[in-house]
Amino acid sequence: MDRRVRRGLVLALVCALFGAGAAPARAQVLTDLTDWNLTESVSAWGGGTQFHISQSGDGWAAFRWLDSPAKTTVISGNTCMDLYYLGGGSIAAGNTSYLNLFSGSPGACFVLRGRTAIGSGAMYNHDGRLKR
Amino acid sequence: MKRFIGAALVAALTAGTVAAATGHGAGASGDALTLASTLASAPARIVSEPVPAERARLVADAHAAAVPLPAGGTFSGIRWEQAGGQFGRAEIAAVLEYNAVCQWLRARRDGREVGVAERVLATVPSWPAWRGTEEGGVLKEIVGGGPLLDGVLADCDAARAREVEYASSRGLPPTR
Repeated sequence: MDRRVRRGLVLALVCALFGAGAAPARAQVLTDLTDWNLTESVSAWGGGTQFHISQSGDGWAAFRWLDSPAKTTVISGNTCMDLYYLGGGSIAAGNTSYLNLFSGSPGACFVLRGRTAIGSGAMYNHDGRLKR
Repeated sequence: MKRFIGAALVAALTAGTVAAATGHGAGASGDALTLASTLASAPARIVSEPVPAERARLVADAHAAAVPLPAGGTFSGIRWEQAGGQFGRAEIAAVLEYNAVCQWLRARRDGREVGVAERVLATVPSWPAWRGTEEGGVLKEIVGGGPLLDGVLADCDAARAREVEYASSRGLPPTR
């Protein structure tokens, strides 16, 4: 076999084995939310900090607690322009997995709102992470 | 003196309420440009005592007169009551400001007050709600016609449809 052909075949094999040329993994933007204080009345993170869906991610906004939450919490994403509920859900006490909130187009602006379960009281100084 | 200041405050709040409910006091182009410029140089806001959702519309109406809107624009479709809970005053102002950005983006695209819209939108990155933040950088790209513009305009169109429905359901004048 010609040496150049053999080299081409080897390169092709290496590419196939190690995924060179495959689409790069999409990088979600992560934002840590330090000391989020929640009560039974819903309020926004950071006094209404506005976030947007990144251009580098998969379009999903997701939230997780970094330190184990002491109470069940309810987290949502709402639009910046009219506060329309985009999506959200409940996170059980002790759960530190991501909760998918909603999917939007890159640049879509939203605020993160949250509360504790009714009757459970407030939850102070817990850290969370937003993936968008 | 106290009475005078009190009367002036009530007058200002009333004017804001009327402006927000009936359209907007800044329908004239010159007013819009003045408001946009004033907003761009306004000091940063501080986090304040929370406002319960049932009072948020009143607080928003008082701030509305400071935010430029295209002719026929209102803030009446914002879902303060439905979102519920509580809001900071800076948060209320930020919602109004983003809503106004949407209205100016739609006006520019639809050929309404295009020259004014261009000039108002040029001041947007400096508005206090997002000045110096990541969101401010994104908005600069959007109002400049960057690749995110089409998606954001689609979101603004969807929001406008919702706002008309919500405002109408409450007997308020919907935005244009």
